[in-house]
Amino acid sequence: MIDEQANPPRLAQLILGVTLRPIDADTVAGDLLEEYRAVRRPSLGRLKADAWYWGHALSVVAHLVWPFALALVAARIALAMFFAFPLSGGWNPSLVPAPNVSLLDALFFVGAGYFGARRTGRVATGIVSAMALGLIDFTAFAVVATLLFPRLPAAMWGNPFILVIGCIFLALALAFASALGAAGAVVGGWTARGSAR
Amino acid sequence: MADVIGHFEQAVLVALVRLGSDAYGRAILVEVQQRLDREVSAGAVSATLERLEAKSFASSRLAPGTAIRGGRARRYFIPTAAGLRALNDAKSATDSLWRGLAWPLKVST
Repeated sequence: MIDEQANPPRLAQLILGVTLRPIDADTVAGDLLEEYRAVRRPSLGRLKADAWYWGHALSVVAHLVWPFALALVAARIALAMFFAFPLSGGWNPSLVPAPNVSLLDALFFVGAGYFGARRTGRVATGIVSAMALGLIDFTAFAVVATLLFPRLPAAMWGNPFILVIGCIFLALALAFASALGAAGAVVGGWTARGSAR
Repeated sequence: MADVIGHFEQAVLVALVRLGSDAYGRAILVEVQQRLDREVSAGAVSATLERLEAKSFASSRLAPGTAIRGGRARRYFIPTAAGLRALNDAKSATDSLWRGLAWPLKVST
């Protein structure tokens, strides 16, 4: 039975609204809401229908950041293969002794923020793009770290202190990404408004 | 020669031709999924429609929303003359590639 009052997860709707161009925000969100209410929710139930909606909302973010994500992951793998681990230090200084807060990361976050905001004219798009990139960047770091130190995941569960350190690294990486993304987004939003005039 | 269009762009343009005046976001998404026989993301379709419009292969108009969409507008797409030419070129190129070969190809094991 079609439930015209059923609503997808609010955060997913918010992310969708922020990352789509203003001209698409209403129509694409409407298309997904229609499919959610008419087909997915009645046939899949709430949990699976919500997962379906999240998948589509994240696919919009993925289309926004994939060139940066690809370049960043490739750079991380190349650097891990040819240079010492961790990736910061020397030519690539880091804000604090932690992963994902180096000059190289900063350049990517500013770029993601700039182009995200340029696309929609909204600073929020740039920040969401940079944060999504930050999450991908941290995941890439975690994969490289696990490949280089295979006992790391088990050690995390054995010693909660290491898990806490990992969570602090993740929080630092996301804060760094959002701050740098905001800086790029302010410039991107400003140039988008300038070129629209 | 018209601009070359990719495989997914072709799938979306063909969906616009098939759907005619009913080609709006959700219908296009469902049509492409059925034709390609796989799950397709809204992000991919929306980005492709945006690209097709930028290449002047498709144009769109807004129509009022319905209650089930929370009142949100529908955006209907139609292929332009340039889009249809690009589709014809793509089909001709594929046909030319296959000309002279018996299909399906025999697979030696």
